[in-house]
Amino acid sequence: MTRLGQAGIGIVVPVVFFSLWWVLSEGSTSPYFPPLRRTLAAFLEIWFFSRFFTDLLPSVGHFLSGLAIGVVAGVVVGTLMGLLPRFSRDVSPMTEFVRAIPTAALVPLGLILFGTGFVMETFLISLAVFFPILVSTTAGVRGVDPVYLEVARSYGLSFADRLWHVIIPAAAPQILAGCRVAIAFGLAATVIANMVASGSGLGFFIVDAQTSFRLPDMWAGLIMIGLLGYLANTAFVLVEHRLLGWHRGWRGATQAARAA
Amino acid sequence: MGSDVPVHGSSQKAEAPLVTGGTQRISRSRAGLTWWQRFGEPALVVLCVIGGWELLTRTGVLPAQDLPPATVIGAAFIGDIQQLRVWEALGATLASWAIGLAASIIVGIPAGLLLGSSRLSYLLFQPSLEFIRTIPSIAALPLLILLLGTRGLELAAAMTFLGAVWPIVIQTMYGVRDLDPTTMDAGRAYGLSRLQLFTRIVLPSALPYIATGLRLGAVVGLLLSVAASLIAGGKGIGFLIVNASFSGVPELVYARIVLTGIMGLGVTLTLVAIESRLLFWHASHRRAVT
Repeated sequence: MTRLGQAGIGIVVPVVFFSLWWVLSEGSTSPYFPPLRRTLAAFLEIWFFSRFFTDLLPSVGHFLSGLAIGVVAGVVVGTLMGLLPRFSRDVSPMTEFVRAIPTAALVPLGLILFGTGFVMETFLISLAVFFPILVSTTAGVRGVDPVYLEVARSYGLSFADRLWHVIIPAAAPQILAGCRVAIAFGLAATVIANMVASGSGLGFFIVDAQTSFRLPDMWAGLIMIGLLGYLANTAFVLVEHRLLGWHRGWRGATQAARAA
Repeated sequence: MGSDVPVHGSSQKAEAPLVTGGTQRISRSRAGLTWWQRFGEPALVVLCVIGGWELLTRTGVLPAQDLPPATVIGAAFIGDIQQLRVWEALGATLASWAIGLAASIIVGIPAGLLLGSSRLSYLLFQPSLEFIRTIPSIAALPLLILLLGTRGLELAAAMTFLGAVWPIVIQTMYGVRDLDPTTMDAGRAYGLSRLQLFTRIVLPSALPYIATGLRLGAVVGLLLSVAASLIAGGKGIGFLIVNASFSGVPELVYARIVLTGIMGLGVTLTLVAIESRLLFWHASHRRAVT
């Protein structure tokens, strides 16, 4: 089957799902499950007009800044932990413990330290993003083939060159695998932070819609969060293809070798 | 939090060898460590951090109002765990988590086996499942509050289910798809029945993937169970944290967060132990066991 054919088949399920949803909900009188038609009307009205600047943009902004901080910090600390076993052993009791705390439980901490708003939400999101990246970067850097490092050293590469041209690229597949998990965690943290302690944002919006019983609005919020997740993931896949183009070729070659 | 990057059985199949290479190297270097290097020095560092925290908050370099000294948090912690309601809340969170996780195993593993068993169903459902996985399950909380209410364990259990079922389905599906065709052919050549093929070849070879899915699902599920009681109230540990925060006792907030962390750590360690028990025969665990 061609790649296009494979992608085409994948479309079938969502199309069937949304068609069924549309048809089955059309005559729905249950307040909890409004007709999809009304939900979509609410979706367009809310996200393209009334709430775009007040709820959608802030959430996206907090998510992106938290993601950026968390990824950079995770890669830096993870590289250090991967390169320096002693440092890794000494800090891992603490990182392992903080990592085990469910993000939601840290919201009250964020509130005590930063109050409500941008700083608190960004702090929470970057913390949620930090740990998956930290773990995958540490494993990736530790797993770099020692032969690469010895070759690089024997060619007289400086430490900075070895780091930038050998270690980071060799660890990149794992770092990016961590990014994938991190994006999902960061998005969840964005919504949770909004829900607990905000007067705006996506999470606040759906909770607010629920408590004031505007259910088509709540569904519209749900769909928007789903859409954001989808967009974040699509953007990630594009970046990954870009960054790992060289790696895929190598992978294809080894897979072919293994199959033979 | 506490996400684990899928170490084996990751969706990017060819990466597994890279990772196992890494763990092998770690265990090799671990073998040559003294007791001091492995436990003594890390413990000393932890003590220094706690001591530094105490010093900075006592001397007022850090605001003690927001950051209570370590000893104050410790005292609050010890006082708190002598209260019955703290254990009830912990029990409620763990019970709802266990119910939700059990339901997601009962639903997720058969669904994953079914979807992975044919190429067509895999191609049909894989993109949609990968899409659903990126949607934060927490977004469904308001809807579930309406449907289930906030009094009982149902809400937290349903949230756990919703978070845990997707990684389990997806990893199981990948596990079945990643079956080595040569092994299957050998099984057929030996005249194994369909059932035997399934129990002796398909299931064992998918098991590492299923274990990864379970570990991911369990961690995400715990996060959602805590989040449910934190946001919606109810019986769980999340509500206790919010309660302490509303009553304006920061050291109690810290103490209860520490308690939640201990719970999370306990869950993670239990899962790792179960996994290495179940998968001791698998290459990725063999070295760690011997």
